[in-house]
Order: sequence, then structure tokens, then C-alpha cells
Amino acid sequence: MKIWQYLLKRIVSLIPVLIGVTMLTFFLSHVIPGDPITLALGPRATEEQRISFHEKMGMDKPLIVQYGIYLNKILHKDLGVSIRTKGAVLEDLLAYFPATIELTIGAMIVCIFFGIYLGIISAVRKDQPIDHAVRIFSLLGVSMPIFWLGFMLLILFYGIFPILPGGGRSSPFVASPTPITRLYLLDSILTGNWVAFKDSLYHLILPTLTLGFCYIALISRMTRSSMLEVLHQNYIQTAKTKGLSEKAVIRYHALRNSLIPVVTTAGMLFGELMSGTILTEITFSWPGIGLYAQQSIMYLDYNAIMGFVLVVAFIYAIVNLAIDMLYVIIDPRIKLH
Amino acid sequence: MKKVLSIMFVGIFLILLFGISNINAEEKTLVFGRVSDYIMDPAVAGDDESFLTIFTVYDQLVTRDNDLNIKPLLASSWEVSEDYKTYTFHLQKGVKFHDGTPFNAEAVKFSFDRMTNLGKVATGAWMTIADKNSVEVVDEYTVRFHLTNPYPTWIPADLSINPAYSIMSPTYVKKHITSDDPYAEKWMAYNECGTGPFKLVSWIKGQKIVFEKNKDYFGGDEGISGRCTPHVDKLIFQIFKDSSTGRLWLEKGDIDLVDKLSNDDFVALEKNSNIKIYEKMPQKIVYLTFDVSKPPFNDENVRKAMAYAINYQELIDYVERGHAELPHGMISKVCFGYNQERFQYSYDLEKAKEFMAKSNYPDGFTTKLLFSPDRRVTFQTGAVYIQDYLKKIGINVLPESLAFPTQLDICSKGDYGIALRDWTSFKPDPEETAGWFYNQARDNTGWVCSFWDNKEAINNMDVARTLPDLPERYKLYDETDELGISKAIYVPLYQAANLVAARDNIKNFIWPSCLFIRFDAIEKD
Repeated sequence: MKIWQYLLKRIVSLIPVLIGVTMLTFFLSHVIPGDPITLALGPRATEEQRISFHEKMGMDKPLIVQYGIYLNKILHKDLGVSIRTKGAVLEDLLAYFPATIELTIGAMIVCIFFGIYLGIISAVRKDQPIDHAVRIFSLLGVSMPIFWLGFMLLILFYGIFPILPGGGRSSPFVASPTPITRLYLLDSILTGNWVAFKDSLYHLILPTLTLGFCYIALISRMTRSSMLEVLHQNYIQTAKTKGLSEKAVIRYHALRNSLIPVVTTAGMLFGELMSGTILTEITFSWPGIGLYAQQSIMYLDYNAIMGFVLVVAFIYAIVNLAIDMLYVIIDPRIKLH
Repeated sequence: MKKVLSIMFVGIFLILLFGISNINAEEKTLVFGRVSDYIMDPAVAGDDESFLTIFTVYDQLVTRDNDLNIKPLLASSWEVSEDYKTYTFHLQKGVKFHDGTPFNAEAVKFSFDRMTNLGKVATGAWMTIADKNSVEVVDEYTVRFHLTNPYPTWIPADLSINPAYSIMSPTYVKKHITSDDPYAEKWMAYNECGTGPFKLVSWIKGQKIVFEKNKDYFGGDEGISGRCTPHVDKLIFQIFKDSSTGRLWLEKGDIDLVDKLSNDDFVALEKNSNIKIYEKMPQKIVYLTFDVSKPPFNDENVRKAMAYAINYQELIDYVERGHAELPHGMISKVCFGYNQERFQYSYDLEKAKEFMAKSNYPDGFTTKLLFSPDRRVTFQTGAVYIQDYLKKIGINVLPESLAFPTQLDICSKGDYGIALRDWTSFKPDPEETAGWFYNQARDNTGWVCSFWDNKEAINNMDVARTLPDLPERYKLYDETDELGISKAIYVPLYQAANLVAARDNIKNFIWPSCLFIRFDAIEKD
């Protein structure tokens, strides 16, 4: 099957997945007792105001009709209005999601870079002191609560040694770059705005290191075990016998063959990171989607909850697709079907 | 590969070494740390936090000065008819909106009509005293209100302290009207065009809101009724998410003032010689409520036992870390007509046990304690203390943490156990407190859930609302609250203060008890 055929097939199969996810979320969130309108209007609203708001939000109709209306709106790029923020959900998501994506991508890079590097070292120097050190390092990361680590780093690099900023995505006095992708680093490169680039990078360092460190273990341990399996293979022995240096053996033969399980783990990692961002966002006052989603759930803000779930489900599906494509690139023996 | 990476790291290191951009040292900027950004449409916003922002950029017809006297603002004078249904305001001349268009009677009518048509303003009495025909433009600088019901206290209890009644530029709003948003609700939630001392410059959601000084503010440098041209050039609301972060920023000087930190952080900041803590007279009552129409809480002895079993001072000292006051009924200290002398329950375990013994449940009973930490963080700890107090009189309490909408839903159905609640009276009028707690047995939403169907109390609240003689009015609220407290319909626990921490180079910090921080008055050394 050609790649483009496979891509098309996967994108089309996305639709029933998204419908299923939204249906489940919609009905589940409506089952929870509580009326979001009560909170949105506040205690001093009159009964007429409440009834009128209910009607305006279409909440007087049967659930299945409401769901149908919602699906229809999505087709017109309308994700509804947030009861809590009173703004369009689409605008809210555009405002907050890119920040989380930027943080997640940054943490992924930290995780994968250090994880693979440390995994290779542990595998090659198995049972030596460095292997144990890496094991302890990774274990520390996965055991530490994110918010505690984040705050300790904040106190150290902001409180005691004023090297890095204390949170947020940009300084009070620096204007954010012109929004193109809304990923500040990328946008500042694209617009040549070096002031914003420096500022965004500074602000990104601590949150990505914190979030990444807590998940390095996932990648490093998987790399280590996968690498160890590959290193015992015959062709590795052959390569060594032929006189290839250790570095060359790893680079040209071992690494690529051991990457498949690591790539699978990286796919799962993305999901883990996205769910871990909320604590990082709170610690570093990162204006991401985490807190928005949490408050939407607390306030039973149906449209916001649905919008958030829809985008997350979509991202998950795309990441899974990318992982599957990566398999093909890494291992030519894998065929798409 | 290694070479590429090394070059990349060195490159990034060099970029970072040459630092981030400079602060513009010529402009005086005030940075205020807040936990969230809030919408700023006065016709829709319903909470204190939004009103703080609205108060900064909008003016109203009437206001209060720093001594809480009613003073003119956008209206220079006014007359009220004898039946309290017709209010005529004479407007200031020469005032301009932030977009340069003139302030006049048309703008007043537009702003009030927009409120009526949107139908969402849920603070203040507007929706119950006016309709689409209530606002009349008499001439360019005179506007007349024809209320549908007489409301003698409209100015003292509502108009002079409620930023919902802000005046906005019709020209500006009309530019942002669309076919499915005929009142520009979506736009005005995050934009403004008022006459106030500050103008909105930019808003990055979840990060910061930037305002600049309105150089042409009509109050000028001398000010009008406490509002003046700001002493700083820029005002920034910087958003933080965690109390510890906010505290750290303040200690480092990256922000100049902050509110809504945890009590522990305020206590720690008190010890910092570079920080000053400002406390605003309590406006928030924290209390227990229960369904008095059903057992076991329909038994007055049980309720009185609970009221005596609570160690109020301990709650203040440990749960609120000293930043609260003892309760005095269900009327908060900030309200006019507040009566310090009335009977209050105090901690008396022996009396509590006596009342329990006299009640229908001498051996006690089991019940739930509902609370929502998203309403007030200290409820988590408070619930545990209350559980302990009630255990001593045989009431076995099971604390249950719920999201607030869920709690409201459960309480609206009655027979819910005990609910730990808070109530903020942002108006200094007992109608906001006693009037709220006693004017009905219950509402459909769960906000009022005492289920105390006392005809005398309900009637009193109805009468008091429109009583023109203010001392008589305050007395009626006071007497009704006295009745309610004597029967322990509610158990008020304490009155919680609002706090702001500021760096010591912040001068002239004014925070009137029924209004909001006057950012225009603040000076920064």
C-alpha cells in the first residue's frame, strides 16, 4: 500500500473515533449532578434570567438533540461558547493549547535526547557504576512529584540565583511574537524577533526540564533493554569482528534496530506528558490548557470540556499516526496495510 | 553529530548570556499579581474579581469617596422623586471615552439598555427595577430613569458601589456588533471603552493584561471623588497560578502587589521587612447551613448545640491564620447598620452538651458535611476542625468534598446534611447579607438552602428592601437577623478578610471597604 493511501485511510478512520469520544464525553459530563448556569450567572440572578440563559444555551432541549446540534456546529467550526469565560471555546483553545503543545514538545525533546543517550550508555556499560548511576538518576526523576521538583528549581534558579525567570511564558515588559503557529519559539524565529526568542527560551527552560526529567526513565529504561537485546545479536558480533569501533557499531547497527520499542514508548510518552503538564503549568504559571480544562470540569462547562476533549483526542490520533509512519522509516521491513 | 550539538549548545548559551531585553526604565510601571484573568464586560460580569478590572477602566454615574460618602462621578448632581421611582441625573460635560468620542446622555442610555437587553447582569437590582423603557434622554447632559418599582436605596445600596453600572462608548460597541452577537458580548468580554483612569492596551489570555494611564482622565491630577489621573504610566496584571509562585515573585520584586495568596504565604510575608500587608475589612462570611425543615436540624436544640460547640477563635487562628474576625450574625462588618452589641454564640462545650442532651438526639447522630475547596481553599482544613468539634457533642460528621455546582444541586433538594459555605457581600448594605439569607426559605439553585419558611422574616425582608428611612431599614434587617440567630438557623463561623501584600516602595495604597483597589492613586518610588 502506498504511503498516501495509508495516510488517507488513517485520517478517514479518525472520524468514527472522534465521534465516539465526543459522544462518550458529552453524555458522561451531563450525567454529573449540577447546573453550570447557576454558577455562571451567580446567586443574585433572577429565575427569568436563568430560564432565558438555559434557552439561549440550548440546554432546555433533550440531550440527544443537544448532541446533534453540537456535532453540526463543529462542522461549521463553532465549538460553542464557554459558560465560564463567556468567550468562544475555539478562541480559548487557541489561546491556551499552543502553550501546552510547546511545553510538551520541549519536554519530549529533553526526554528523548537525554533518555536515549543515557539508555545507550547504560546498555553499553551494563552493570558498571555508570549504569547504576543512570538507573538512580532515572528513578529519582520518576519518583519526584513534578510540582515539588519544579518549585525547588524555581527557588534555586530564580529565588536564590537570579539566572532564570520565575514563571510565565514571557516577561511583563516583552511583547509576545506575532502569532503564526502561536508557538512562541517558532513564531519568533519565523518573524525574526530575537528579543522574543531569547525571552521565550529563557521561560521555557525550567518548565521543560522539570517535566522532561520526570519522564526520562520511561525512555532510558526502554532504550537500555532494547539496546541490550540488539547488542546480543549475531550481526553485532560480526560487525565487531570485522573491526568496527564500538561507537560505529552503536551508531550504524545497534541504535536503529533498537529504536522500534523506544518509538512506541515515545508515543505513550506524549500522552503522559500532556497529562503531566497541568502540574507544571501551575508551578510555573504557564498559560496552558491544563488549568482551563480542570476549571471547565469543576464548573461543568460542557462546551469547554467537549472542545478540550476533542482537541486532545485529535492530537493523540495524529501522534499515533506519526509513530506508525516512523516505524516504516526506521525499519524498512515493516509494511503498511 | 556531537559537533553539531556542541555548536548548538554554545550558540544557545551565548544567546542567553547576553540576557533578555531591557525594561523600559523611563516608564513607571506597576505590576499586580493575580490568579486569573477575568472578563471585563460590566453588563455580564458577576464577581468581585471582574469588578476590580472594570473599576480600573470604567466610571459610573455615582461613586463613594475614600470616607465612603456618596459622591458625584460621571453625574454632577441628581434628583430623586418622592415616590422613589424617578431619578434624574445631570451629567459632567467635556468627558471623553477612551476612543475620543464624547460622554453624554445617549451613552448612558445605551449602556443601561444594553444591560437590560443582554439580561445577564446578575448583581444589583437593575433587572428587578427596570425595563426597556426605563431610560430617557432628556437632553444631551440629562438622563432620567423611570423605575418599574420604587427603590429608595438605589443610590446608597447599589448605584454608588456597583461597577455593573459602568458607562461605555456606544460608538465603540456598535463597531463590534455582529448578526449573532447584537450586543458585542464576545468582544466586550475582553475589550473596553470606558472613561476610566486606565485604558486597556493588550490582553494575552492566561498571561498578562496591560493597561496604560489615561492622560486625559476627567478627574485630572487633583481627582474627583477619590479618582484621579494615575501616578504610574503602565499597569500590568501578571497572572500566576500557584500561591507560592506569587509570593516568590513579590519577594524578588518582579511584581509590586499581589492578592489571593494562601494564608500561610501572607503570614510568611508579614515577616519580610520589604513587604507590607494591607487588610480590608471583612466582607466574607463563612458559615454552616442546613435544612431546618427536616430532622435532625429541625430541632432547635441540636442547632444551638452546634453553635456552642464550635471553637470560633481556634478556627480564626489556625484555619485562617488570624486574618478573620468573630462572626456577628449573618450581617458582615462592612455593612451599614452593623450591630456589634447583639447576642452571639461563643464557644461553650458544656452548654453545647446540655442542648444536645435536651434535644431529640441525646446520643447524637451521623450526618454529612459538604464543602467545595474550589470556593475557598481553607475549607479543606476547616471541615476537619468542624468534624472534630461536632464529634465532642456526639454528632458524627462525614466530610464530603464536592465541586461547587454539584454541591449546589444536592443542597437545592434539601436534607443534605450540613454545608460549609462562604458569602461575599460586596455591597455595604444588609440587603446583601441578611436580606439574602432570610428573604426566602430556599431557591431552586441551592444558593439559599436553609429551608426556613418563616413568614415574619420573609415579610420583613420584603418591607426592608424598599423602606426609604435608612435607620429604620437597617433596624429591620438587624431584628430579623437577631431572630434568625436566636434560633440558630445558620451558624456563622467567622468573617474572613481580604489581603493584599505590597512591596514597601508602593505608597498611597487606598482600598475603600466597599470598593476596589485604587490603582490610580498608587505611587511607586
